[in-house]
This record gives sequence, C-alpha cells and structure tokens, in this order.
Amino acid sequence: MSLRQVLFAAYVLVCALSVTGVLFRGVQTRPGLVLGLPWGLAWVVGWAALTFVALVIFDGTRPADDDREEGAA
Amino acid sequence: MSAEAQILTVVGAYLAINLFVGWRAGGGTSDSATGYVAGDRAMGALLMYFVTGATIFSAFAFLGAPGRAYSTGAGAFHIIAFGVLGLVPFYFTGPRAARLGRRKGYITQGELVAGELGFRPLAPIVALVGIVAIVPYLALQMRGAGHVLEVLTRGAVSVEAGAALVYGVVLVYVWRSGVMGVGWTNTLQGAFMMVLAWVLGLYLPGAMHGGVRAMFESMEPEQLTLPGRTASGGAWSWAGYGSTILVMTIGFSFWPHLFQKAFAARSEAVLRRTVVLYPTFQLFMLPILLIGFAGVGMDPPPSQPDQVLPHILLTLDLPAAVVGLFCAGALAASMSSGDALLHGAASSAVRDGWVRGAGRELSPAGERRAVRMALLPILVLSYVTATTFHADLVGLLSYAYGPVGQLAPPVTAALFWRRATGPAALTGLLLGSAVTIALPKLVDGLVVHPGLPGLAVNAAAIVGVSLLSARRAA
Repeated sequence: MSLRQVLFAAYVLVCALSVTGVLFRGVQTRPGLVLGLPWGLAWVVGWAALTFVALVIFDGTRPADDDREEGAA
Repeated sequence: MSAEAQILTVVGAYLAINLFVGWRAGGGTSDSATGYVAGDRAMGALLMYFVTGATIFSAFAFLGAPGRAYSTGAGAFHIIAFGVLGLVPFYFTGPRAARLGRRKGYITQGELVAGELGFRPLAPIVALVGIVAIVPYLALQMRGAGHVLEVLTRGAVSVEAGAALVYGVVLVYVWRSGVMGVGWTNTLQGAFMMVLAWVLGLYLPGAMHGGVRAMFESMEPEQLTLPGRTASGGAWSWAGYGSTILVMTIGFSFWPHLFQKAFAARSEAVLRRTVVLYPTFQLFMLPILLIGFAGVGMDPPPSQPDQVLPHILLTLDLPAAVVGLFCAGALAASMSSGDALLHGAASSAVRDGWVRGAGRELSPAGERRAVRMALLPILVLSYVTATTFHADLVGLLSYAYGPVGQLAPPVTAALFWRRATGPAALTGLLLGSAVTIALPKLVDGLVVHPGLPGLAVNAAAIVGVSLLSARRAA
C-alpha cells in the first residue's frame, strides 16, 4: 500500500468516525452539547476543506502509469 | 410599478437570459445522439464543475435546506456531510465509465451496465429505475419554482402557471441544445446561486439578530447539538444520522442524470479535477444553513419549515427588486436540476429503453430527434405529478431515492469486477430495492436508514449469484 493510499484511508477513517459520532464521544463544548453551534458548523465546514485537501493530495500524487494499469484491468 | 410587477420583471429578465444562453449553447455540437446527450465528449473543467455542482443543488437548496436548519438545528449538518462526501466515489467510477464510454460508445448508465455485463435486459430496467425516480424529483423542482413565484408575487402568479412558465423555458433550451444547453445554463445558474446565497446568508443574521454570534446565542441548546433532530422533530440517533449520510453518499453519484456526465467530460483528468474541486461548491451550503438558523424564533413563524426563506423575505419588507433577485435565485436552483433531470430521463428512455432494450436501430440524427421527442411526455408527466399529487410527492421521492441508491452495487460491479454477471446484477438491484422499500413498512422504529440493509442485500446477492453462476459454468 503506497503512502497516498494510506493517507486517503486515514481520511476515510476520519469520515467514518465522524459520521458515526465515535469521534465526538465525550466531547462537550457546553454541558449537554456535543459540538454545539458554532463549533459543529465549523467542524462540517472544516470537513469540506479537509475533503478538498485530501482529494488534491490524492489526485496530485497519482502515479503516471495509473491510467495504463486501470486500462488493463 | 407595483411590487409584484417589479418582481416579475426581474424574473422575466432572468428567464430571458437563461433562454438566450441555453439557445446559443447548442450550436457547436454534432447532429447525433452523442452530441446531444454527451456533448461530443468535449466538456471542459469549468462546465463540468458547474454542471455537477448546480445539478446537485436543486430547489431543495433554497427551500428545503434552510427549512431543515430551521426545524432540525444541527441535524441539517448532514446535508453538508453527504454533499461533501457524495462525489468522492465518482473519482473512481467516473473516469473508468468515461474510458469505457469512449471505447465502446456508451452514453448512458444503463447502456454501460448492460454492455459490460453482457445482459441486455439490464439497460431498460436501470432506465426504468432512473425514470421512476426522476419524475417525482422533477415534479418537486417544478412545484418549488411555482411555489416561490406564487408566494413572492402574493398570488399574482399561481403555482401551476409559474411552473409552466419556468419549465417552458427549460424545455425550449434543452430541446434546442441538449446537454450543452444544460451545461452553460447551469454555469450561469450556479454562479448566480452562489452569489445570492452568500449575500442572503451574511445579510439576514445581521438584519434579524445583530450578527451570527448573537443568532446562535438566541437559539435553544437542544437545537445546537449533534446529531440534531429528525425532519419529524424526534431525536436523531448517531446510527440514523450516520447511515443516512452513508446511503446518500453511496447513491449520490449514481443518479442517472449525474452519472451520465461522465460521458460528457473531455478527458478523465477533467472528471477527476471536477471531483477534487467539488467540495468547494459545498461551501455554498454554509450561508444557506445560516439563513435557516436566522429564522428560528420568528414571530409569526412560517407555515411550514420549507417556507422559512420566503417568509423571512416577505416579513423584512425588502425592496421588490431584491425579492425578485431571490426569486430568480430559487428558480436557478430549480432549473439547474430540472433541466439535467429532464435531459437525463429522455436520453435514458431512448438509448436504454428503445435502442438497447427493444433493439431498435436508429440513425445518429434519428436518435437525437427521438430524445427531443421524449422530452415532452416526461415533462408533461412530471407537470401533472407536480400539480396533482400534493400530499404524497415528498414521500414518493423518498421512496424513489432508495432504488436509485441501489444502482451503486450493479454499476460498481460492472465497472470493476470481471466475474460479475448480468443476472446477478439484476437480482441484486431488485432485492436491494425491495428491501429498501419494504423495510420501513415491516419494522417499526427502524434505527438505520433502510437503504443500508438494502445495499448490503444487493451487494451480497451480486457476489453470491455471480459466484454460483461461475461455478455452474465451470
């Protein structure tokens, strides 16, 4: 597994832990609030930015022979 | 000039600009189905960015999304979450579909699945699933456009007349220019929506609460916590929240009208760049949610959550020209999805149903004419649905969403798994759709989104039946 694949898998893991709430277990920005506004909103917007960065890195580090491999599959 | 006349003047100017742009867009494509449906496979990065972005942002963006933020608080974050993730699978499926399309002449999703799995009946069935889902979706866009016009002109234009006017314009430019008309109008509509959303999203919290921070401080704590509330007002569990995002992420890029754009891109690199850039389009949802939050605590409240933005605009007593601009923005959101839905459904009906399913050969120019002819019945059917089935349309659409998500396993198998067979894909699609539709009726208080068990059954059936078929063949 290449470094780009490991990094992308890490990004997918962050997404999985986030949407299932595991990442926020025990996190309270105010008593009784799990990521209350504006922190929840900031997290979601940060997530959009993270996705963009993750995709830029993943796409930018694509091996040159990737097309040929896919074409042969 | 009365306020209603000013609003209609702004809307009329906006529709005229769309008509002009859409009409001019179709001049450069060939007189064939590939030209009309896939733009001769020549769409560049700018067009692809706006086509995917604006197509996804439907009338729901200006009506449903603020309504969700207003009624469910933090629960509305799932809209950004699945939106951000939704196109990521397309990074892998899109370029591969584009390559196969270029090599084998595919221009629709059904044709690709049937062709790759060597099983012709799949094409019309995939098309049918898509069209059955698209009609209520298109009907909702029409009703959204008509409703905005009716509310903001204070009844001067009825829902029926408004929907007919807006979609008359859509029909003309889609009929004339096909996918290029969709592409260039979506570029115009997408840019317009983004500007308008940010202007309203920054202006309204300030005008109504004195700023974003003050707006959040005025909200009730239970509105602020993840995963928020469901659309019906109950507490949303993490399982429900997470599985909804997962199902929508998986199904997102498999909507036929969206997937079809893989065949329109100039190159695989353009497709990949589109997916990479797409999360930036999601930032458009941030001000949309702020608009919904701004409406919390309004007195009097809107009659329905979906009406929160028109209600705010009418309550604030803004200049009619500004209300007209919002109205045009909401129409942009409706049209940018509606045109792609209409074009996608007509293309699929002809190529997957008539050409592949019924095995009727058409000349390139004849197929182009047939797709044009198919636009009208689909538009009329959607219009009748929009103006007749008032109560159940949203429910119908939620049913339709389930089967569309079930297209993901067969399409993925057709693209990436050589041992997959056509009958296995068909079995998976049918079983997955049945589970998705039946489960909410059979199980009370289902915690997860019904699409998730449907996808599991679907994938298991494809793998199981494919392996069994291979063993028998051996």
